[in-house]
Amino acid sequence: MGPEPDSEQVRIRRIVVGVDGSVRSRRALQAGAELALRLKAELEGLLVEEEDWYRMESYGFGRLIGAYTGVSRPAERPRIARELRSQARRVEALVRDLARSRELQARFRSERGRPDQVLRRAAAEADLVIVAHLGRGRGGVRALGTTARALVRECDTPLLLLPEGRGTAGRILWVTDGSQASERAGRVAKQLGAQLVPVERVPADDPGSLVDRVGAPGPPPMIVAARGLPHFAPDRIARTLAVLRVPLLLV
Amino acid sequence: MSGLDPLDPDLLWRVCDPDSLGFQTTEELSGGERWVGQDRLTSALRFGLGVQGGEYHIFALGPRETDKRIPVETILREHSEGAPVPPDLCYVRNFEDPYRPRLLILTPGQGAELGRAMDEFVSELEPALVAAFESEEYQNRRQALQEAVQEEQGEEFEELREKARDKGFALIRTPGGFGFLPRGEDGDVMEEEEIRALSEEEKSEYQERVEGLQSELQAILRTVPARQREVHAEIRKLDREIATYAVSELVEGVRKRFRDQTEVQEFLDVVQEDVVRNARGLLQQGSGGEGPALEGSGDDDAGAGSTGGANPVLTRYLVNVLVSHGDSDGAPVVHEEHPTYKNLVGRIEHRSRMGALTTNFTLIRPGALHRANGGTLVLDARSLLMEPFAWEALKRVLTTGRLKIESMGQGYSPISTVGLEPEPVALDVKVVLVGERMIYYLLCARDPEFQSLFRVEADFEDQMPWGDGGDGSYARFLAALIRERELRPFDAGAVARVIEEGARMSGDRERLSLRTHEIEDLLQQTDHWAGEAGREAASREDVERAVEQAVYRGSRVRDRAQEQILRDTVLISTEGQMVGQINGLSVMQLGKMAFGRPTRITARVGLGRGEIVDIEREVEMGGPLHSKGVLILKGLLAERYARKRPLSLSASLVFEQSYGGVDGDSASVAELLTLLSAIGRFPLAQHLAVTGSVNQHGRVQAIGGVNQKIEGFFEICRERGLTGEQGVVIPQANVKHLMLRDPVVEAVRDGLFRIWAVEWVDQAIEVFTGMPAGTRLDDDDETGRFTEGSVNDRVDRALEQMAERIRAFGDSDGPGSGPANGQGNDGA
Repeated sequence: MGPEPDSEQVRIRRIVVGVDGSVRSRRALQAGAELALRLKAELEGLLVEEEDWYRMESYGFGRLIGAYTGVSRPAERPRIARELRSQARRVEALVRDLARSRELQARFRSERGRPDQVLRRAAAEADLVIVAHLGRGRGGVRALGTTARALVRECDTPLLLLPEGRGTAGRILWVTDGSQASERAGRVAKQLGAQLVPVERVPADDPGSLVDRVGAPGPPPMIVAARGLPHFAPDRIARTLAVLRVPLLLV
Repeated sequence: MSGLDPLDPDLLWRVCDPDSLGFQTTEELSGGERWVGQDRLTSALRFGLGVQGGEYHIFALGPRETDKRIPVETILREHSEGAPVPPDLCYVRNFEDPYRPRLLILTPGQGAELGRAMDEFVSELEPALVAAFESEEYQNRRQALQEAVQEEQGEEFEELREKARDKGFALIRTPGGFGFLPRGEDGDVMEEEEIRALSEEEKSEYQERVEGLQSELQAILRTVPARQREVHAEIRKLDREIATYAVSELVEGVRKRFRDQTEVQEFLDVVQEDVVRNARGLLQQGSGGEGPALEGSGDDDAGAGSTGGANPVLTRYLVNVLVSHGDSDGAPVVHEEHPTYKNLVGRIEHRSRMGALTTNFTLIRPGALHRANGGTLVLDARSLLMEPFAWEALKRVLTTGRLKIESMGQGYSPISTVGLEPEPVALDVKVVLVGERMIYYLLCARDPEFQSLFRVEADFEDQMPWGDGGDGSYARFLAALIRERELRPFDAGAVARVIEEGARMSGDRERLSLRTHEIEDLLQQTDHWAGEAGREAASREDVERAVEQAVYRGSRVRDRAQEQILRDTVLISTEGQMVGQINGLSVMQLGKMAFGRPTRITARVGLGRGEIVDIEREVEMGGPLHSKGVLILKGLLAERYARKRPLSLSASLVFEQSYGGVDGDSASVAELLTLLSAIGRFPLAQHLAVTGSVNQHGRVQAIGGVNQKIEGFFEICRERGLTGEQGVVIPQANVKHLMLRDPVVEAVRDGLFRIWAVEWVDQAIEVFTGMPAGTRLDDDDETGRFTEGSVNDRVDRALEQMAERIRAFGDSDGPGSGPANGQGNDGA
């Protein structure tokens, strides 16, 4: 175990969670609420209305195929708008419930645009961004959606990628190579732990140790690592997540 | 005065000789005889306990003043020792129908053992399940199952996406489903302006291409539910495998401890199956997570039971040990002091959660019948009958032989709610009701089911003979009571004095009281006064003081009544002679205290048709027995004086200054004497009092409370000054009941007070008049007269004159029938 990172230098005051109507994103919102409670931070649920959805009507023959039923319906703008409003209300209610039950300062916002762009803009004003990411893709490597991939590559704000079915209650594994970036990641890890969750230091050059620690008994841990470390570079993250399947905070 | 001699003072109080007892103090009487004089009772109890049959329950009846419970329980415990120990009773969850908890009947002690084992099981189950379901193996395998489907579907989507790309479309997802958007030449989704700019021909071409894609997308989506079902089935299978691994060792640990208990093995089978089937649900519900609803979760599992702060959902695996006899060495003897419905048949408790009442099998509580099953249950009859629904419930249970716990709320609520119906317990219990005789006889008369269920009558004796050999056994009985109450020892003098007081309590010099409450009172108070006197062992003086103080404490009313007489507020003469006036004697019972007091009885006669007006009866202050006594007088007068002519008088009798009710026939001798005095115009001694009932032949019969009556008149005479003339006339049949207090006995011994015992009313007449009563000179001759100058002769002649006057009056004006009126009647 190395020296304790200085937690005073990093302060997470505002957490943004990208949400849609899926179960996955609801859990991301709950995880965000737990962190916000632990850190006494403000929480924002951000719903993106994708512009593409409204375009289907414009070419006349566009149709919506029900995701569960497979039933085909005309892609009419009012219908799509209604469904979007319904989705927004559900998410807003969830944010409100979380705020009330945990006595949090939390708000909901929706914005039209491309998700990666909207979230990038939101990240610029936040201390932490949380997004749920898809599970293993074809061949086990396609673990990130388009939005998460874009945020990994183009966002400097600490980014928490939550795999399906995982929370942030477990211990924190701080992967470090001793660099300044890693030290900064350590300070964020300490901040996230908020003295409630143990933070363990893991050498970046010992991936076997990391795998062992992830597999140790107890709730699945969260990994905190600096962007660019081996296994955590943008082109490797998908594979790393596919193997470890734990929450990953990139700093 | 008559030739009848007063009673010898030795007949007034029976002395118990301490030397005859054969011990110095009661400490020497180690054995004690709690059952002295109760042979009939013990025989009945032993019969009732031994006889087979569900209807042979026992009613132990006796006077209120007798302690019945302890003696009964003593015999029951003797009987239960060595009797087979009944099984343990437990309730467990019925996994097929949680509303009907299942009953487990286990060998003694095994129920409690199983309860402990399942407590341990539950405390270890959650960590075992958590470890199993959080294991890397499980997580990986579950993830792999889910991902396999997702991958398969993802690949199909990816292929479709590629195909769409090839055809110039992008596959997008909206909140309402999937759709295809045309791509521009740069590969990005077309802007709306670009789409609108398309020609109709281009649009038609796009439409043609997209329709095929939409059909393929629908085909893929149609397979989703089936795939999800498959993966769920696979996950369930995996859950079972993991849960089986986690739980089997724990269950096996319990199994080993109950190898011979088939019911336990079956219970563990269903527990294991339930854990395996619901393992993930148990963990998620217990942690408040979004888990699936528990299968067959009909009751409220969470929040009840004692899982020691562990997952409350696991309460379902606990064992509710209703009754355990692990520490017993015989059949149970249970005494329920508060026999409410719930305390008898058990109850189902509820917990309030979020304003709603919930329950489950762990909240089933046993009743006294559960605890006594296989043994004996002792209940106080009065308490039982005063509790709503308890008596009916007990009869129902005894009749059916099945003990079913039912909520009274369910039974009597107008709204039918879902509640627990625990499996009934087969009942094998002997119920012993303990109560007063009146309750027993009332139940016999009023409750048709009672006699068919309580067929054994165990009756407490309240007296035992005081024979020559009776002192010893009664002394041992007293010694047993003294020991039970942990009093200081009593020396022989004290015991002898208590024995004498026992006779006084029974109101019979030949019998000793077995009313234990009264005797224990005396013993306890004697112990107190012995302590005050600093004595190690209670003495005769302490008993005397206890008696004296008890009388003093309880005699306020008596003293006020006597005071009224002494101050001439209530008129009672204790000297001189009066016509038509006599001192009768009555007894008042107020609380524990009974005391006698004299009552002036007067009679007045006039011409009439033979009516004797009982004024007490006329104003409804006389009870039926008193009225009966007065009517008997009429028969006696008719037989004695009206053989040759009708009774031509109208007489009235009254208890002077009587402001309460009068009942009993003990004043009928007094009433007869005063009536004869009024008819015959001869005076009666006022320094005497009389008590006794009389029959139509003139025979004087026994009455109650003779001691108190004598003492009541004696006290008045003593206060006014004993003259040696004063005394009381009592029935001869009451001599055996005389146990008079010492002042009376001493006064008699000193010749200052006298007591006569009479067998016939004529003897009483002679005592009160000093004249011969007289006999009929020729009994066969209806015209025969009585001895001339005798009392009967004077009465006979007076009645004859009255008859002649009536006849003469009738010849001129017809007989009158006005009210009794002594005015103008100059008598014989």
